Amino acid sequence: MRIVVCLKEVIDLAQVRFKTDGRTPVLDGLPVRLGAFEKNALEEAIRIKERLTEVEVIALSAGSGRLKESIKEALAMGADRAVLVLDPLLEIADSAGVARTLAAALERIGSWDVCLLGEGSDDEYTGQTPSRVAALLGLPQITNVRELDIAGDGRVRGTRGLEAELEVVACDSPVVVSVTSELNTPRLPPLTAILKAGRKPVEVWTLADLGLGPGTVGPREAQVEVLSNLAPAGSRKNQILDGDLEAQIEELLRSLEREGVIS
Amino acid sequence: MSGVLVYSDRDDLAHDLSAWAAAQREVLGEPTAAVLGARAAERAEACRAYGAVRIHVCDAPAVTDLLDDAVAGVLAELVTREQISVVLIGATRRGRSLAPRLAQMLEAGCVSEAVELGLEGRRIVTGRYSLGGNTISREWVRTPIQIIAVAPGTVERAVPGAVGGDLITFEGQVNASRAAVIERRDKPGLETNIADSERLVCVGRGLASEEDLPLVQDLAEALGGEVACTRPLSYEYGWLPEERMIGISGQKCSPKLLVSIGVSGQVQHTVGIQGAKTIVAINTEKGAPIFKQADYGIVGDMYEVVPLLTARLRGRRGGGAAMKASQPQE
Repeated sequence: MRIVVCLKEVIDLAQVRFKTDGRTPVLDGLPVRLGAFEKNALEEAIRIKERLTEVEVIALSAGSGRLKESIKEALAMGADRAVLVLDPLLEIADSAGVARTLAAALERIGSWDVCLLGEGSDDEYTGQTPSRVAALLGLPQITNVRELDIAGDGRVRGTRGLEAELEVVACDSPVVVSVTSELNTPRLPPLTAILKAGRKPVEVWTLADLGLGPGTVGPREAQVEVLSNLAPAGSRKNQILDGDLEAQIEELLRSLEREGVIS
Repeated sequence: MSGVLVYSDRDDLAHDLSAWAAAQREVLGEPTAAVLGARAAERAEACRAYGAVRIHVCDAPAVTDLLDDAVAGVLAELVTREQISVVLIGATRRGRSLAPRLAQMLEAGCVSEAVELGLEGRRIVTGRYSLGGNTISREWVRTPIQIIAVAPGTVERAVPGAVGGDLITFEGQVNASRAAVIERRDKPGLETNIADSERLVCVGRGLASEEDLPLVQDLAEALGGEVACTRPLSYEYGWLPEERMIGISGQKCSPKLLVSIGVSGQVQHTVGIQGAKTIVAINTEKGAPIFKQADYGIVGDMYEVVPLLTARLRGRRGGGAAMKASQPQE
């Protein structure tokens, strides 16, 4: 059995700073790392590998040259090998462009049973890539999976977390599955694994290798135009109460009553 | 533009979006709707009071389970046949993964969870959370067909109007998914609806122990509201069920009043409270980011502030001055 885990590199959001206007984010030079949901997907693939025999886990990612470094974490966690699609165009591609790239790479990898992705990325959380990849490949999708069971014969059962209920969906492979963070707690690779990770095979493809290029992936092909991307303008009163605690609570209750938010 | 198609697996969202589309009819063209799945005919009948001129009904067995690929197939055919240019989908969990599937089938651009939806000139402009909730990305879809999944509560709650709209049975091809739903069960711990609560008490890591939960439950009861929490209390500690968790990966709420207790105010959490009318924050750290998100702040120990606040609220109720008795919600 072969499981392909798609990973995305995301910027470290805890380090996002704003210009003096307080609203314009500054993203230049921020460190990148593998996304958290994708690590849940990878962890699950490795657990399946540990449970079943003859499972190969491939880490697939499309993005910038920095991936050569960040993908080592996936290899250290236990992926057998990595396939990277590297191209400057991918750094500015929208989710349709990334999905097209991943789908083409999945076709080039050839036969596989399950493609695992995170349900969304830490940074944008649009969650479009799994559905778009599945649609491009004409495969069923099981999204929002929080419990996953893959049998040796390739039968996949995913438990989806919906608003009010859990829904168990079964499907024969191949199938595209997106996972949530409830699925597991990703392992921290031991130092020995980190050292060995550098020796695992990493294949690097370009967009051209996949028959893709500026006409299919890139900023001018973006389907959604961003008009602005700013922190919301603060509209809260930001009134810190003072005086002794009794007085603060009295004032708070008067204010809340005036606003009509307590009865 | 030649028309809007509205779809949601949650009927009330479909109604809200249908009414919104009907109100923009001059710019966006005819509003239509699709109702799929179990009891589709009956549900489509209820949809007639919300402004759609045509309601397509499909209760074929292949869409009973509402699996994304089967539903997207039906919607894609409707879009093509009816020359639809805008599809509005309720951004439920199903809707969020359905929308990009449909978009890819139609080579269309997609916004998968709009929290703002409006017209600027003849363009639909959406807002969605970006950079982990730090920012709102305002954008428009520039493909000939636009797929927009709209979060609950983004457009006004619709009120039923005159009953109209033709019901049309879907006659096209329905392709079943290769996948199948083999079991459904209720989520454990589902007992509340944080998203629709009018008053919330949201507790964070300032709570030292699970045994102290009655402290916040008492305050919620005194306010006539519900207890909510941040991610660590639900996912890491398991003190409260995830249905009560507010944040980018949990619930988004829009209560009249939210009292935030012992919450530092990480953006992944505060993205879920931005819809609140009034926010009160109680935290020991004067510099906690939550105070920037709050209307009123009390810098202090929740173990001192909360019991006093609860007592004062109960005292007001006991005094009965111009008070309506408010019961805790189910």
